[in-house]
Amino acid sequence: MNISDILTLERTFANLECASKKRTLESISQWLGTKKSSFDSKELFNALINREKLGSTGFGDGIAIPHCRLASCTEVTGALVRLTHAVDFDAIDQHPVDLLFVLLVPLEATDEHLQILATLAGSFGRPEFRESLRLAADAHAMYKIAIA
Amino acid sequence: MINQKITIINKLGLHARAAAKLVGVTGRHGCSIQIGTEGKMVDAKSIMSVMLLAASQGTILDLKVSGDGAQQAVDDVLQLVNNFFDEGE
Repeated sequence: MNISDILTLERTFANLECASKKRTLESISQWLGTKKSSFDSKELFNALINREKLGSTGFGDGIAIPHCRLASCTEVTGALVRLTHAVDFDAIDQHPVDLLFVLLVPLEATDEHLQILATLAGSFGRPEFRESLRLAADAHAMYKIAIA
Repeated sequence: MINQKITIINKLGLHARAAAKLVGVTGRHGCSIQIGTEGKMVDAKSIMSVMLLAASQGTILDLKVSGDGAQQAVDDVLQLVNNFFDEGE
């Protein structure tokens, strides 16, 4: 499964301004709620925040992969967000986060989930990939980099 | 160097939460720890690297450990994996 299979330009957000981890996930939930009528913002926010309580999805180098299973999710859905200012995400390396790939998965999908995590780890694990996303001019540029 | 085969037995496999627990354990040891399969061995102390393996339930991985305290590191990893990453299933 490639990033191009789950990400759309519409779900790429270049310059989100948020002051905290909670506000970031709230804003993202609200924003995604407008993108897909089947998603309920509140349900999404609760699912994402509950996953964070099990352990931060901030995996280092300014990256986070907030994710959750949703009953209302029929297919693996991705969103890419860049924050104008990095926020404290309680990340594994204690560094603030400014790049997030949000992953929404249907209740039953398990191996698919692992495959896409591997794909994301592969891309976001590369310093050049992260830096080019940070330097991209806008959502369109970010999207092109992400799906390449 | 110690070579140990480990089988991923928990239902969800080596997903993000399990990977985080794994690096929590491996990070406590000073020795060098690698995990993966022939041709794809990764640093077991790096969560992003571990997630590259996409190891689902039933996958058999190689654990290669060398340095001081290697046996203890192997034991700790085995305990975590064999306890279903504390996930209960």
